[in-house]
Amino acid sequence: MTAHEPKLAAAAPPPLAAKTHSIEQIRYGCAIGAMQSVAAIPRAVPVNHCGPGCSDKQFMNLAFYNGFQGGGYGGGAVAPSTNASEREVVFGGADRLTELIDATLKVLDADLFVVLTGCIPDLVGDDVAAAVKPFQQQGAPVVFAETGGFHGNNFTGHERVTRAIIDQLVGEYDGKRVKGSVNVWSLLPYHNTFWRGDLAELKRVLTGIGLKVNILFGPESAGVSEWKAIPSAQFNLVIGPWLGLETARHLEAKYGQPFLHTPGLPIGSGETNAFLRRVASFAGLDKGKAKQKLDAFIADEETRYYKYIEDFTDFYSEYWWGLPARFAVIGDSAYALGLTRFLVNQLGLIPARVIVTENPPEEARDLIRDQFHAIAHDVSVDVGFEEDSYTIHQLLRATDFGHKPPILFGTTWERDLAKELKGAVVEVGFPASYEVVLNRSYIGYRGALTLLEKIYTTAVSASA
Amino acid sequence: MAKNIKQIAIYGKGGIGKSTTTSNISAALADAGYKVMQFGCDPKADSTNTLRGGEYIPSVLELLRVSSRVDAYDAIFEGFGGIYCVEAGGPQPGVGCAGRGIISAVQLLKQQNVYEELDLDVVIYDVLGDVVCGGFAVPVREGIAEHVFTVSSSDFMAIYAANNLFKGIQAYSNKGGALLGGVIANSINTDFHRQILDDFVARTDTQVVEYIPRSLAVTQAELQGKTTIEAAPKSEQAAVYRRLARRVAEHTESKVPTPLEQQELRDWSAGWADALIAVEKNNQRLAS
Amino acid sequence: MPINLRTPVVESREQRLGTVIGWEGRASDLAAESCYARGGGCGSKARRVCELQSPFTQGSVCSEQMVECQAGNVRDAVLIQHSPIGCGAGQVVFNSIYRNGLAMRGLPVQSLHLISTNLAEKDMVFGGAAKLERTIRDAWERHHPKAIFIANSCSTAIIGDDIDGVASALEAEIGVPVIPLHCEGFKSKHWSTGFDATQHGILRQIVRKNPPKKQEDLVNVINLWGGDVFTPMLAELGLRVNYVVDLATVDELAQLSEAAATVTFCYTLGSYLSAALEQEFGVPEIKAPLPYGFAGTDAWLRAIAKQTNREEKAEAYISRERARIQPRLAELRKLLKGKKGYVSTGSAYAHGLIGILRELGVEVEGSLVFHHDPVYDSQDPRQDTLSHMLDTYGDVPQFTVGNRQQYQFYALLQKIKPDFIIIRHNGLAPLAARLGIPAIPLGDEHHVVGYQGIVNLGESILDVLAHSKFHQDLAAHTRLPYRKWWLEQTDPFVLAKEKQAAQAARRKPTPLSSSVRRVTAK
Repeated sequence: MTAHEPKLAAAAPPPLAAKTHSIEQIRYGCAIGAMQSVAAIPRAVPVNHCGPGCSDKQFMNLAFYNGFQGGGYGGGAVAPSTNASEREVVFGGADRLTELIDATLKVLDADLFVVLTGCIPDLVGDDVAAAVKPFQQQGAPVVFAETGGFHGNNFTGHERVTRAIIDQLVGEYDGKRVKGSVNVWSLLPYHNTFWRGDLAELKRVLTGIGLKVNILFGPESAGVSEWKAIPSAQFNLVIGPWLGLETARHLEAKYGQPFLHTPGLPIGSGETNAFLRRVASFAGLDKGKAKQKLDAFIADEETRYYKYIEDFTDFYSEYWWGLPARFAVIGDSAYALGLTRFLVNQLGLIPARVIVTENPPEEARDLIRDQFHAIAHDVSVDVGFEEDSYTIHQLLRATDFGHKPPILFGTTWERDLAKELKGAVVEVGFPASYEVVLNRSYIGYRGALTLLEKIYTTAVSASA
Repeated sequence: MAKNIKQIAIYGKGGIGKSTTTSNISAALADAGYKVMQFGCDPKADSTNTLRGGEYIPSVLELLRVSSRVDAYDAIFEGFGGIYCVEAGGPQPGVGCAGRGIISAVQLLKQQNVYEELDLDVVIYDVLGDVVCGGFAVPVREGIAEHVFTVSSSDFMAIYAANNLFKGIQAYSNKGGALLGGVIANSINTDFHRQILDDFVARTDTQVVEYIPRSLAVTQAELQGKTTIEAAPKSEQAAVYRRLARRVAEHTESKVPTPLEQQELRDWSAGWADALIAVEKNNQRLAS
Repeated sequence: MPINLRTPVVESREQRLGTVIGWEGRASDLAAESCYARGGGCGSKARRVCELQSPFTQGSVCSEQMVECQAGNVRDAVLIQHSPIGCGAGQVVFNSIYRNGLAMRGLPVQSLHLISTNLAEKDMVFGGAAKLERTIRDAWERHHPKAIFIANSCSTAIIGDDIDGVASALEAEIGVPVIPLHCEGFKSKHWSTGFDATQHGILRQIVRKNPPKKQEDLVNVINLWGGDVFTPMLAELGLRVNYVVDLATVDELAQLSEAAATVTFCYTLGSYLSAALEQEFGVPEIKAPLPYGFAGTDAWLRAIAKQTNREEKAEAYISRERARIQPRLAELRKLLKGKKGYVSTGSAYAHGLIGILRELGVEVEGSLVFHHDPVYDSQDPRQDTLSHMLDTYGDVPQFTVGNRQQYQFYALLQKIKPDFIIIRHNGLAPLAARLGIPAIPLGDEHHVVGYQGIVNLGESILDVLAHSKFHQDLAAHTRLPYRKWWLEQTDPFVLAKEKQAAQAARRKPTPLSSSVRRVTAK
């Protein structure tokens, strides 16, 4: 930080009315929402031991009215469910679950079945382990995780699911490690609306610098075989402020596997270059031939990137009808941090308010705050943590966006507010009910350019 | 509904004599000409045993388990004196959720208007006294029982359980829940036993409705699978039960109890323990 | 069986009506097994239809979700979801539907305000009533709604939170109706109980109990978010429309008891509310076929006209409309000749759709309904939509009842091989799509109402037949997640029947002693 320039800080949030637990216009699902994390693994199927509505509710909201992504091979309406009734509540549902697993194995063709529990069996105390064990002993690829809704949100559920698969499917390993291979732990499938394109871009750039990548989720993954290969990877890579850290620590304890944690989701050339160099250094790919490959790849990507940025500059410097200057970001910490860094450092926009909404664990919040204080040498943000949209909207209304219309990077819940503030909204996260997303990415080299298209298409559409 | 059906709930710690007491109250009321339903809310489903000679009847929950459509009348059976017997039932030990079972069973009967159709005068809920979750408190809630009585002996464990129940009643008291009619003191054979309970109810702002001595007549009747009212209708014990039943039937003013706090309860019982020791010592002295 | 409004807990569908969610056979068989029994009465309890239960089930939909989409869509009320955050996930889909519904009705578009009590593990142990109280107060301070609904959930129903007590206490404190709705998912095997739960609460606490006046030209129309076709239609009879429950205001719900009659777009939705309005408030329920196809629409309009003394106007409208659509209808019949359709929607609505398809000359050899109510709450045979369909349009040989189970859909479609399907719920069309079969998604359920509705459906079919290019391309490039063994099965209920046989062999009921005396209903 230079001595003579004061840090530009986004104003600290105004004091709120007494904090309430109530959540209006939700920002996440519950732990059994991680059924979609299972569905994100090619040829894996979640088997839900829960009430009749849980599967539909989590799927329709995380995967349909959020980017209209579709259910996945075994998710969505395919997901088997016990559809628990009064009977399973009063008398216990373990028998029903056994019956369902048995029938599922007859009817569905998959490489992995993950049994997930909802509120009902977790409250009533069904012995799910005992119900699943006979199938595991027969060699069926069935694992289970406890994901009753009251345990936490779908971020919580996600790590319970990954842990279950690692412990129960992958099991013990004392073989060799394959140098130059990496397991990537990043983003929450389906919840992060652009996860498919994002993971594809992450895989692409990591492969580009010479790594063999287990991307684990999404269309670029080979599925269960990648999961089984987890212990043989050289290291684990956690990209994002906190999701995946628990998994990485567990892998370190279980397999002695080291991990690298890069808190920032890289968006744009500057960030992605730095990210790749850091990974290469950790992986030992920053010497000799490997370093040549690394440098060549980065140079190539950077050159291409700036060709487009250069042409974009005509628009960015000359456009008559006004472009946004101040922005707010409302979303999960991974996207919030990545976006803020990009918007500030690449575009030179000014952060007026940033709110993180996925309720990160306390241990992660200091890191998140520190990251936001160090956005740029002259930009520091006092990030807020809030999950209730009513409160978030109050905060946004009280924010000083300067004399130009603000641009909000948020969700469908911000649509009306954006109109009220006479600004624009770009839906970048859950729920994004007005986006149709296939393989669009907003990160890395390619995704950053797509993001620029989206932001400025939104901005210019306002004047028509 | 045209007639005001009196609904009461009787709670008691397991083994304290609540079902015995409740069945005898029902029998006494039936004998006196009332139309009574006894609704057992215990997963063991044995509340109305002594009213039906111990014969098996299906519980509400057993019926619900098999079919999603249950006619309440499939769970109502006539016992001694024409008393309508219903058992809520519940899961086996170690599985399921008995509390939810109580909720489901009570809701079913309420929805099907059986109390009105049977032209009942009194409905008595006999409920497991360890009110461990919401479900077991359902009979106390608005629209179900108006008066709660608890069966307690002078044993400290029974009194602890009663005190706990008072907390539950107090919690629901401002939401239309049932209020406390009083304590039915069971197995009271000595003045000392009586004094302990009298002191407890004084401190918790309630009353003892009746003192029931321990009696062989009750045991004999139970072994025959009957209530004392049925097996020994002219006995002293039967008279006690009839008196209790009349008091319960005529009872109108229930109150919010003031349960003792944890420390208070400990201090109180420690005080009585000292007194008990003193009495024992005195008795030994007198005996020797 | 009269509707019981004296308890806050609604009776589930299956309890009241004998609803089933698994059955197959000819539609005429189902009608025969149902309560109406083709004209015969059925006493105070509905007959029991034999239900098939499969050991393999896929996720269904729950009653709490229906409460979200009903009570949650009342414009100046707030719905509180008393549950952990998961039930709140539904806010996203219902928000989208709400916004689209408002836009279709020309009302100002806004997001909905559902608030979750966001319960955590410790609330499961210590109870969530205190949080519920706080959330009710939050709802009041934030939005000053005209009513507050509380939906409980599986978890709060298991731990036994006293939502009724909290609701009473807070209602006294705040001064607007605070309405507890018992709609926990596990309460009922079919989600339509959620409609009943919402309506039950509205009847108990919002509908004006002794309305000072009656509005003799007002008709209650029980529907979802459909476009406004009923206002112009009933205006032809000099009648005004009171749309409920979705997109209504609390005042509009309160005036339900002032109307001259109640109708609905589907008895599955409206059965409970309309029967209760007649029973408790004297608002006559129109007992007639639903307004689909010629016969249905004629009968429906005439029944309304008779009830409201507007017969002349109705006849004029009927003949005018019938004449107006004839030319295009004739064209459509030519264009659709030889096409095969398959309906997979809710119950009474499906009966209507099948009729319309046959009006258009489309063949219907089979259909799927998500559940079957053997009788509706009025117990009146004039509402027997299944029989009306049979009498007017003939039998449907492959009639299936199944709660939106995708795995069954494969065999059903293989049997019929339709050119298109009609849906209104998610989950089935993706399977049809992978088989090369396009779907008509009726997001606006009113699209097919009345005489114009026949033409509308015909046009939609023409549009979607072109769609099959997409689906056939997809079918050549995709794989279903079902095992080969399952895909070879021709009977979608084979597993259910195996289970049934095994259970019959096993079941030995505990015998009742001869000395035990049963009690019978008076």
